[in-house]
Amino acid sequence: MKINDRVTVKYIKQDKLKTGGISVFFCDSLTKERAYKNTLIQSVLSRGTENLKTAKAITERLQELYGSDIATNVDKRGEIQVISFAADFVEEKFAPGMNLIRETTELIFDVIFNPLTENGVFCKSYFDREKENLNDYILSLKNEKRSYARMRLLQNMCENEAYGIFESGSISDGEKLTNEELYDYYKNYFLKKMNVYIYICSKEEPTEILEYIKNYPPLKNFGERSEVKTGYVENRDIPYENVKHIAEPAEVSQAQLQIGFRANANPGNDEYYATAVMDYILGGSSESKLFLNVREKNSLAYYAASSYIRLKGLLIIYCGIAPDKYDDALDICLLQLKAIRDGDFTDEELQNAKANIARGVRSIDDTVFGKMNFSFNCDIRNEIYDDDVKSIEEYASKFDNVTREDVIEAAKRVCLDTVYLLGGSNE
Amino acid sequence: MSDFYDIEIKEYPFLEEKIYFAKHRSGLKLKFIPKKGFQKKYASCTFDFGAANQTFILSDGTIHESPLGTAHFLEHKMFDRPDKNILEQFSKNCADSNAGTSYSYTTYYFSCTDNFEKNFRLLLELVKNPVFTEESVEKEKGIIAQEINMYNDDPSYVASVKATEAMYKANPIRYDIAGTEESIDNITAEELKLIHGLFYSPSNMVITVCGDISPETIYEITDEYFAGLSPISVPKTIIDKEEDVVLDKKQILVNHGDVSMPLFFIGYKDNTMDYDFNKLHIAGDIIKEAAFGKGTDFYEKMYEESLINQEFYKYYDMDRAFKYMAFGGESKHPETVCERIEEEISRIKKEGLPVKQTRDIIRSEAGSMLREFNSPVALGRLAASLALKNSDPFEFFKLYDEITTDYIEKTFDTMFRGEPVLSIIEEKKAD
Repeated sequence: MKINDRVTVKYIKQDKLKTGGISVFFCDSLTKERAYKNTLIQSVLSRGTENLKTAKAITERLQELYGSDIATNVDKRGEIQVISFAADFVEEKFAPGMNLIRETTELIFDVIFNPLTENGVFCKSYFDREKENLNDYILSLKNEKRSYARMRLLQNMCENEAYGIFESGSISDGEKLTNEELYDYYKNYFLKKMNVYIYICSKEEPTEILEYIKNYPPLKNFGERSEVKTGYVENRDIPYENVKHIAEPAEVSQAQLQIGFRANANPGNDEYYATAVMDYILGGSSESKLFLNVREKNSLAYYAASSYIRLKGLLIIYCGIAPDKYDDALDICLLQLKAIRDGDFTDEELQNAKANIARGVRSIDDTVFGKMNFSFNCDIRNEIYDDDVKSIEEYASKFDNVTREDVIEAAKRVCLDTVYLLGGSNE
Repeated sequence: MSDFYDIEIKEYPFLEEKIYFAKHRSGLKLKFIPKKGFQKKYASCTFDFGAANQTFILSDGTIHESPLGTAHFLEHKMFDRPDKNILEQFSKNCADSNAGTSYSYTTYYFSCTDNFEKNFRLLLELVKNPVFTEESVEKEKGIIAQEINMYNDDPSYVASVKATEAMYKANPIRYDIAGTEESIDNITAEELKLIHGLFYSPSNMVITVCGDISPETIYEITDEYFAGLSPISVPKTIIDKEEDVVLDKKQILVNHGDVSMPLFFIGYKDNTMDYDFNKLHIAGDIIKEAAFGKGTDFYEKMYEESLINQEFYKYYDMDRAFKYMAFGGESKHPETVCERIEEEISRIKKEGLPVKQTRDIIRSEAGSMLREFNSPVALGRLAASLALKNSDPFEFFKLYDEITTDYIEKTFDTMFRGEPVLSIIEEKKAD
């Protein structure tokens, strides 16, 4: 159901859980100009509303509502920045006499659309404290070496693409930002220009709530739809001599190696399923080629794995290595990909990969947040790629059709782009 | 014919749940919660044996004393087989597996989405047929010694150990579950065999299973391992009784390597006597939120004055022979934090807890438990932790309906009869 061009509302049925849920996703194009602001707005909103002025008051309200919680998150899906708010509620059957679906929806809307203001802008102390917290968070990214190395790889590999921007922005983006500017931006951009997806998951279709959402005044202010894109680049071919090699020093006993590839698999068609299976065989488990050959057989790494970023079309191999083992580790990692290109994997490896991915997909149905997230991802793909997979079961069964040849082809499409090393030298 | 008998199915229509209880001729008990339509599955074996079962009477009347840390050492060695490591086997079968030793019980468990039968067999193999050799026992000593040293490097751990030592005079909680570097040096393969034979018998064990599985599958596989066995008696453990000692305030200062801000741990020995274990447990959890949680003026004020930060934590812990409320975190002024908590406690003793809020918190805690019922793994774990306390998750849930704000108030008074133990970890100053 579309309220207007920008706001989509959907009901998702569940029949085995004690709780239902509501998720609200705001989507913006990932930009250096807005990434920091969008993140900061979410934190400031969580501090207090005109009705519930403090975090304490919000906590008390959540306790009244059978101990719910508002989970907030900022991430990127392809080159879309996603700012999400979600809460679950006890289903009416288990909380007789209460209308928790209604009250939780009202609360989450109150937080998003009705922030505490003073002198016509956000409460100053909330703005100051949350800005400080966000800066502390961005600074602390360095402490987690593995995720920091991933962030640096993407910044280097996609330096001229939006995907290289960290989803919460950088400290310098906020240096000159004032409370007045942020509030103005919230009113005139955040609430007016972004695309919004709202999902309600529960046992019975809540017609009254869907009606309430449809008529919720702030949602009516959303005008024309914004265009967002995933940033997938088709068929990128990079000659080996143009591959970027980057090393950054760091005081670590374990160096972090991140190898970035273009997957060259269209996110919207069956190439995706083949690449996902290939990625699983390569580095998706403790039985994978990377784990067995880099870690176990050659003792070159403390961990070795791969991951595939569907919407942007990237494949990344990553491992933790002794700083002086860089050359050997890189070689052996690349050999594992070559092995798959050469068809050097067993039918058992293929079957296990397909079965394990499908099983993982099916377990999405076990949680209310998993179900809502899944629907959101489907809707984005449908909008951008006309991909019409809608149900978890349909999605899971797609992996069954992947053949040995598909996997080999998927591995052949992959093209090395950037090698990044944190700690140690690649000279 | 299966060796299971007395199979009882208890239904909870309001919760849309049911639980199977079954007895086995070998003496073991089974609890099974079916969760139709869920992918995840959970199974565990829990033994009525933990770190506190240190001194016990053998069948010939002699008293045997195991080295401190034996239960935990045994748990580690169970996974080790001459030809394989069972943990890796689980991982190959796409299962997450682990074990835990507390003061009064030891649990081995796994969770998976597929290969349930294979993994369940592996679990039973794990607990039933261990192999202990002197060589592998010696090797383990180094590993566990490192684990113990690692804990001792952790300042917040040191803060809690110092405080619990001061709270209890003669109680197993004084000693770390892992033992000490010296005590584990006395553990032998012989000792592990003896303990395994005495305490890991089916008579001392509960199997808990949760997930979309048929009960017949569980019966059949269990029979493969335990059919034809008869119950044996389990030795009686000598455990020090809980002490009814009301403490005076104590403060302990420790200088430790590098802490950027002083760390503190505040422990209140709970002096409630003659209580229902599960009910008191719930009361402890409710009190910590109702009196000191994020929804209280107390917390808001402490946070605003920067006496505490987001690292502030609180928990209620209880076992058969000890129970206490704990607060901890970082603060530039730990003594002031402790004084504020003491003042707040006396204030509440006089003025009581806010009734509506306490009621909301009772409901909110019930809500958290209900959320756990959504996950076969969380529910299975909960069922396993209650298996030896003669309860199950659904009976436990009913207690939230029975608990009144009056009961919470009364418990508050008995819980805080004594004064706190405060331990502070400060940075070691260079001399």
